[in-house]
Parts: sequence; structure tokens; C-alpha cells
Amino acid sequence: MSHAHPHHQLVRIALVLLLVGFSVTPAGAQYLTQSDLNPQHGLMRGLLAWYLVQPQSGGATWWNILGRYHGTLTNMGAGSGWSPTARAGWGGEMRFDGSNDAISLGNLPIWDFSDTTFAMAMRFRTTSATTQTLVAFRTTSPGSGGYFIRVNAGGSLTARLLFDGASTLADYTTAATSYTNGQWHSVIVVFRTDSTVVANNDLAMYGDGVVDQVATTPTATTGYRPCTVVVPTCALMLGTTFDGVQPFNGSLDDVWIWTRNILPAEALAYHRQTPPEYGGMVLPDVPLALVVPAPVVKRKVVIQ
Amino acid sequence: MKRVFLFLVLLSLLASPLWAATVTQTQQSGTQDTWHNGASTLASNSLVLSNAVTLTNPGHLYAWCTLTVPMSAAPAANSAVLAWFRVSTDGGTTYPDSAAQPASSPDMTFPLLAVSGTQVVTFRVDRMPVGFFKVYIKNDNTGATINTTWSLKCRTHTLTIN
Repeated sequence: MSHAHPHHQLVRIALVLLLVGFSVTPAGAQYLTQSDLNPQHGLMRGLLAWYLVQPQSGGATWWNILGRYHGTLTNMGAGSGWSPTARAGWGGEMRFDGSNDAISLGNLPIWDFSDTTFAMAMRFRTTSATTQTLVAFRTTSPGSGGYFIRVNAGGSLTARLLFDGASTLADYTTAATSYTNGQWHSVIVVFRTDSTVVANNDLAMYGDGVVDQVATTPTATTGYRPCTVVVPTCALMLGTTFDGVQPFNGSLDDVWIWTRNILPAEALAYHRQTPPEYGGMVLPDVPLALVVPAPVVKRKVVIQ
Repeated sequence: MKRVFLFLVLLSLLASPLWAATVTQTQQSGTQDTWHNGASTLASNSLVLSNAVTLTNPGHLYAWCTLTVPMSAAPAANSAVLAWFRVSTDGGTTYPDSAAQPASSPDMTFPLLAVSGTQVVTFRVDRMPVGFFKVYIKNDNTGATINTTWSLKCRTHTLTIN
């Protein structure tokens, strides 16, 4: 960097102020659909699903903003399901009663995730000191195959990959034990599956945007098996296992599924996303952006 | 150079959020149109396709919609009336298939309370369809019938900044 003339520095500072000022746009609470998303955003790559409680959400379906694999609210009666939230700016939260509430994402081959890398993220809040499932593609019978993320009674999180025998392929628990303190937390787990080489099956866990994992040495004898190999009707479930065990007692929101690895910086970016633009995932409201005179200003930025 | 600096600082102040707070935002509104007049009952999990909607004031970007539904019984918890735009891109000749529920998320969701009687629910449409459209409406898992006469009425509008 050469030594700039002091006046030039002042002009640059003024230009920055100018651009910042014009880039501020009033943001309204949009009802998001796929066309509102920014296809150039890094977290859009490999994104399969985004389930978000929006201000105008409701009904028996938790719609995937990306248009497929919608969730079905199950057993969610009065006091469960769509609920207001205390989080400023967020549209609400999905409440589970800890008894039999669940959301089924369906018995679909897409959830098998054999011989691939995939990732799941969500935000959750609970005060229940019990073993609770956040997401599961498994039953609690030994050897069901599949995968899951759960909250443990002691306040930590566990994620595992399973095969068709009694043990695990990959088994991680967080070091932190504060996940049942009633605050909102985020978790991202990256799963890598291999149906033949046991050692290739692995996980990466992020709690509140940072790596938080303690590995347990698995003793599996064969590679990864999806739940549907053992239980053909097995569905991917939010808030419970497929056989209705370890129900979640708390709230979920902002569930993402990717068909790729998620890097540490991306995990942190997800954790920090907030409405209405979710870190740039959502394009600004078009009509409001049009009235901002930024293009005119940019033409004036030619001073050297 | 000082003049340039002062000019730019002044300009940046004009562009600041403080300045934005003084901008007048107004809603330019159209008139309310009936998008669907429910002359027939609509059973739970049934769908109905409206006639082509003719807007009295076309060209607006948003709409506020009001659904008025006399329910035969208290709807199930977490149930709703859903609606999808069926947009014709050829001037009203061809519309998308409406034989079954669309696979996409609905363009409008009217969550219902689990109480009996007539319910009036509003929804803000963030992007109006371009040109000719119909509305495909579903009584989604309420477990109750929507009695006659029910309606979906909307008023289009555009946000303008002066």
C-alpha cells in the first residue's frame, strides 16, 4: 500500500460512508418461497431442504422452501406445532410436546444417503433433562441402520451413524453440556457414509457454530446401512425416532439439509444467520431495492 | 479537494439511515376484488379452482387477502386453508395442471384456529402474479367442511417512497 495523500484518505472514508448509507434498505418480513432465495449464496450449494417457521406459516405441512420433501405434522394437537417465539425477528417456532409429536419427512430414497457426504443443521431449545431426538432416520431396535442427532439427559448432544448390527459406525458427543439450558442453540452434523469400508464412516459436529465433538471408538463390523434396508417403511423424522421413542420436548426451527460437506466457516455462518435476510440467503425485497439510488451513486465513484 | 470531501460527507449524510427515517413511504392501493366466491361447500382435503381473476387495478406488486370461512365444526389444530396461484403465461388460454395438489409450497396460507364458527384470516402476498391467473384453494386437513358462502377477497397495493 503506497502512502496516500491525507485528502485522498478522507475522500475514501467519505465514499465508504456514502455507499453504506445508500445500501441500507428497509427490510420487510417476507413470506419466503424458492424465488426469494439467492442462488449465488455459498450455502445454497447442495442444499436439499430448508424448513423455516415463517410469520404466516400454518397448517399440517412444514413446507420445504426449496419445493420438495415437505414435512407432515404428526400428532401435533393444541399447544403443539406452530407457535410464537420470543426471538426477535423470527417468524415463530415448531413446538414438540415430548410425548408423541413428530414431523415426518417421508419414507424416501433421498434420505438413505449411502456412500456419500451429507449434513443437517437445526436450531432448537429445550429444558428437558431426558434423552430426546432432534432428527432420526432409525428405530431404537439394535441394528436398524441409519443416523440420528439427539439431546442427551446430561445436556450434551450425540450424533451417530449406524449399521445393521448392535454398535455404531461413528459416534460423537459434544463436550459442552449446556444444550438443555432453555436457550436457543444450533447444531450441524456432517455425516460421511461408506457401505463397505467401516473406517470411512465419520462425523463432524458443530455446536453453536463451532466444532464440538468427542469421538467414541466404534466397533462396527460392516459398513453403513440406511434404515430402509432393515425397516423398509422407515421415514426421516424430526422430534422422534421412526418407532416413536425418545420424543423431543422443546422447539425446533430453521432445519437445513445439504448433500455435501459443510466447512467450519459455513457452520459459523449458519449459526449467525438471522432474519430477514439470513446472511444473504434471501434476496432483498425487490421493490424496495429498486428505489434505492445506489446505481446513481456508483457512477460517481471514479475519483482517484 | 476539501470541497469534494465536504460534498461527499454531505451526500453520505443524506444517504444515511437517519435520512431514510425521514422518507415518506406510502401504500398505493387498488380496490378489493373477489378472487373466489365459494358458492359450494368445500370438504376437508378437497380443492377448488377459482375462475380467472380479473383485477380492477392491475399492476400492483403486493396484496392483502382476506379469507372468510364458515366452518362446519372446529378445525383440527395446526390445520389451514392453502392457496396456490395458477398463472397463465399465454394470456389466459393455458393454465398449469390443477388435477392434484401442487408439489410446491403454497403461495398463501391461512392458519385456522381450533374453534367453531366463521373465521376471518388475512395473508400478505409478497409477489403478485404477472398477467392472468386463477387460485387453487385447499381445505387442508381441517377435518371440517367449509360451508357456503365463503370467499377469498384481496386488495392489491404497492409501496412507494417519496
